[in-house]
Amino acid sequence: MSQSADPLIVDPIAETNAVISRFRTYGRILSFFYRKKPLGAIGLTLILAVCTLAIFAPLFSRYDPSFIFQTDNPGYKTNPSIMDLAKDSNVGSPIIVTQLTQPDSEHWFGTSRAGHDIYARIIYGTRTSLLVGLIASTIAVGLGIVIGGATGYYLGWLDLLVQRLIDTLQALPSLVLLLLIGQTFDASLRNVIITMGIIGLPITSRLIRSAVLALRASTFVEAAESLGATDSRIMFRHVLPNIGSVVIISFTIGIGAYILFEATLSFLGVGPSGVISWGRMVNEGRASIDIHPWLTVWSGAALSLTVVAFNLFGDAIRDVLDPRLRGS
Amino acid sequence: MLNYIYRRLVLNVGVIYLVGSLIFVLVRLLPGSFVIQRGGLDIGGLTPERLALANAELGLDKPIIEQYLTYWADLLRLDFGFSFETRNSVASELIDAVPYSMELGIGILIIGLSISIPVGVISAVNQDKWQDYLLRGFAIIALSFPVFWTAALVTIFNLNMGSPLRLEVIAQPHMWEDPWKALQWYIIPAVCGGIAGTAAIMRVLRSELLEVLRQDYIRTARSKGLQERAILLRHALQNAFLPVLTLIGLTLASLITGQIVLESMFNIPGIGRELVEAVALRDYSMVQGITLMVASFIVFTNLLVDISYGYLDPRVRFA
Repeated sequence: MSQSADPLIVDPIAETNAVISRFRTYGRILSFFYRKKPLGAIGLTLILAVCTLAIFAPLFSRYDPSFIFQTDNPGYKTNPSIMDLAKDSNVGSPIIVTQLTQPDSEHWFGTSRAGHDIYARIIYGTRTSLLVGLIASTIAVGLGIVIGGATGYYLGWLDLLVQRLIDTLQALPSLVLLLLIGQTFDASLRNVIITMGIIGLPITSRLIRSAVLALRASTFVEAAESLGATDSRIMFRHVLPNIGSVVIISFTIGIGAYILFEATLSFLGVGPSGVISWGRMVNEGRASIDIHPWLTVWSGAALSLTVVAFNLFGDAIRDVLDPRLRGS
Repeated sequence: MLNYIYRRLVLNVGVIYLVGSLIFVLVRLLPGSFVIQRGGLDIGGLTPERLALANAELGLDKPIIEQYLTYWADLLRLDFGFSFETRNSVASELIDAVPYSMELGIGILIIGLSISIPVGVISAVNQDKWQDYLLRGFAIIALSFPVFWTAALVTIFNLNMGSPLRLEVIAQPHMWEDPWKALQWYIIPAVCGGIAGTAAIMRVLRSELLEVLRQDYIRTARSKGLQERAILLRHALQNAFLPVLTLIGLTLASLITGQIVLESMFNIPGIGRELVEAVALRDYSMVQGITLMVASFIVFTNLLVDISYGYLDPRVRFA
């Protein structure tokens, strides 16, 4: 990269070269990552695949996930007797819902009790899971930076007070909090995501607080202080850029955990309402698990695979960024 | 040391006060109330007079400040009030529910530790060999697979393969009443929960062991000709165990918190299920009682873990 002599005159060729070399660096990092961390690379590939499915869900899903499939009733009778009706209450209707069919070429994963195509619903479920994982993790880490950064930097009574509040939050069983908040406000996707982010706050803010504490004691912060740097300058120029790895690690590891958390809530019936959720699908499938296990099996498999992908990737990222674990 | 314990105790009491107050406010923010939730089902419907009468009986007609003060005055006398639903004291309801949660929790802990500790050790000792990769893969899967899904899969398998496990749904035997039946009832949730709940332990144990095995004193121990086994058990494992202890503390806390998912899946009437029911019914004193009990258990387990650090590792000093 060539440097122009006068910093005020922008050299277009140097700028372009800088951009190209930056891209080369990214490319090199990526190929290094793929060679050194094969498991993390598998995770990353899976994550990209899931993201593609979520973004282009209508292209992949084959059917509308909320369409109710119907077929001709094979046992249809025009004038059913009472005995016929007692055996099969649908005998009088010529068309019935295509429910609980086995997987075939038309419905790859079968249909659910409500007559939905399971495959289409699983494809659309990626949207909910990714949204929840990414946004809840962002909220937890973002609040963690503000609170952990402030308490770790200023310490004193602020730290003492906020730490006790965080202890309180952590001592409350997270499900109690979710049950209460989910029923106080409506359990919309937005409210559930925000609540989950707040529940994750104790962990992220503690991690970031201890990272800031360690930096606060380092010599370069002391040097900056002795030069008379203001608090905000030290904070933004010296401390925050150096907690990047903690932030990235807790963000990536958080995503899988929040996806799992949302699924657990939906499984218990207190998850976000009005969205297609893998956790709820696992639970719905349990009602007819003896004759039609497919809904439970496939939605759980999709969920597990996604979480495995994020955990593999998060692990590899941690190995790369955390010097304590380097080489282990 | 004693000073440290006193200070932590005072802080813990503060935290529990905050938890108690927060939960008092939160349950009252819930829309609807016990009487409305319940009363609609009664024959004759819910007339305003009956609503007022029922609220008066439950003490819900008093001003909120007065309710709050009575709540704390009762709590200080260790009186958790009575359950709106069953009219038994909350304490006796908890005494019924806790053993179920504890049985499941102890099963989870035993199975979890007897899997996670060997896995962590074997994987660290064979770093980067095939055993290590295999076991690390297992740990990631155990961490990622949702426990409700694995439990459901095991149930499908159990149903279709005609396994000898006959799941008893109606009777709810305790371990000491009918050990064999109880074992059949608890085994699937305990194994699934154990694997899921202790995946973190195997990973932390592995990375701590790797760190410790690189230390100088391990090299010293090797050079004086100690057997690898003795080095591992006496020198390495003991020093790698501290962070693991924190995690075990957290798992212990879930002993009493109850495993809400597993309890509701396998029809175990423990704390977790009681809690979900109490919230649904707006049974204020049950929710408050359970939350306070769980919170104090978590807070004091953490304190115990921190204190035991000092005994296990003389380097840890309490400031």
